[in-house]
Amino acid sequence: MATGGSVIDTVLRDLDESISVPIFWTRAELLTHLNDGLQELNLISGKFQVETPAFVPTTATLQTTPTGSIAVLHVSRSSQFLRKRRLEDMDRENKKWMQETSAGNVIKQWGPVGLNLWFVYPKLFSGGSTLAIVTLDQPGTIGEGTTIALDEEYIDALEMYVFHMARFKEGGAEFQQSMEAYDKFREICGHVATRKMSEQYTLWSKEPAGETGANYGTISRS
Amino acid sequence: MATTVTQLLAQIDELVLENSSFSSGLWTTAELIDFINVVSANVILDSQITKQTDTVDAVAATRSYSEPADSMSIDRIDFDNIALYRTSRGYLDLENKKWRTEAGRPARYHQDQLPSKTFEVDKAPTAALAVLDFHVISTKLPAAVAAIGDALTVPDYMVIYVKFGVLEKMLSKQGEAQDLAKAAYCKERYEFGMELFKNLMSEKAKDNG
Repeated sequence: MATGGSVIDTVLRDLDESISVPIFWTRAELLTHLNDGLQELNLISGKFQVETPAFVPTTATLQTTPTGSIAVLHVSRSSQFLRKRRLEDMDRENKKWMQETSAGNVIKQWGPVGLNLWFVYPKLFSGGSTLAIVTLDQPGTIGEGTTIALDEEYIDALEMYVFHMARFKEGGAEFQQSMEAYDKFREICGHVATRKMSEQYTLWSKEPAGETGANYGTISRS
Repeated sequence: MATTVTQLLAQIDELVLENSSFSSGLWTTAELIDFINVVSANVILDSQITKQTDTVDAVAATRSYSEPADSMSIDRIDFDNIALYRTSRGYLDLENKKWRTEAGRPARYHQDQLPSKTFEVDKAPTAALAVLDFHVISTKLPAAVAAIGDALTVPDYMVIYVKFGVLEKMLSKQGEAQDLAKAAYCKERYEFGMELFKNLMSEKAKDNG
C-alpha cells in the first residue's frame, strides 16, 4: 500500500530529481500538492464517505453538519431513504412547512442549506429519534509515513496531480505538457466513481443463478 | 486545524519562485493579505457553502429592516416560521398602489430600490404581531484576516481554492511577474472547485463513491 513518501519518490523520479536531496522541488512542497490532490479527488469522486448510524437530530428544523464533515449526502430513518429536497421548493409547496412538527417523531424529508447546515421536515416533536446519515468527510492530512488507504488507480491519479503541480512552478512548455496529467487525474477520479455507480444493480434482488435466469427479482425470463 | 495566513503564503511562495518574505518586492505581504480577504469572500459567495441564520426582531408599524451583520446575500426570510416570498417593488406597486399603507402579517419582501443591506416587507407588523420575529438565512461573509499569524476563516477544504484565487490575482498583476496563461489556469481551477461544491448541494445525492 502506498504512503505519502512513496508517492513523492515516484514523482521525483518522474521529474528526474534526486529522491533524497531534490534541488528544484522540496519534498515538503510536493507533500502539500499531494494533500491538495487528495482534497480535490475527494470532491470529485466522493470517496471519503462515512455513515453515522445513530445521528440525533435536534427538535429544530435546521441541523448542523457534523464537525469534520464537508457535506451530508444521504439521510435515512429505520433503513428507509428520505427524499432530498431544496429549500426553495419546500417554501413554494407549503410556506408554513417550518411550523409543522411530527407528533410521532418521524422525519420524512431533508435538504441542504449551504453545506454547513441542513433541514429536516417535519421537525421532531421531542428528542430521542435518530437518523442514519452519510457524510462526505475531509480526508486526513497525509504525511510522508502515512499510508494512503485508496485503491491503486487513485494512487496513480494522485501521482499525476503532484507531478502536474510540480510542473506549475517550472512553467513554460513543461507545465503546458503536464496538463495531460491533470486531465488524466480528473478522468480517473470521475471514471472510478462512475464505474462504482454502474455496479449498483437495480434489476435483481439476489445474485442471479448463472445462465438459468432464476432468482431475478423483477424480470421474468420465462 | 485552521490554516494560517503564514502557512498559505508558504505554499504560494513556492509556486511563484519567491522566498517566504516575498523579498523580490513584486508583491507585498499587505497586498497578499488583501487578496486573501477578497478571495475568501468570493469563494463563499460563489460556492454558497456557508450559511448563517439570524433573528430580526419585528417592530410595530415598521416595514424596513437591516440585513444581519456579516450577511452577503439573503437566501430566505420567514416571519414566525412562515416563508416570505421574494418579490420586487414594481410588482407590489402594480398589485396595490397603496401597499405601503397596509399593516398586518407580512407575506412578501423585496430588496430593490432600497438602501443596500436592507429589506422591506409588504405589510408592517401590527403591535400584536410585533412580538414575533423574522428569521433570515443568508450567505455568511467570512471574517477578514489582518496579520500573517491569523487563521483563515473559510473551511479547511476550501483553502486549495483560496490559493488558486490568490494566485490568479498575483499572476494577473501588471509587472514583471505577470503571467496571464498561468493566471487563466488558476481561474479555471478556482471555477472548477466552485462547481464541485455546487454539485454537493444539488438534489441528486452524490452517493456513488
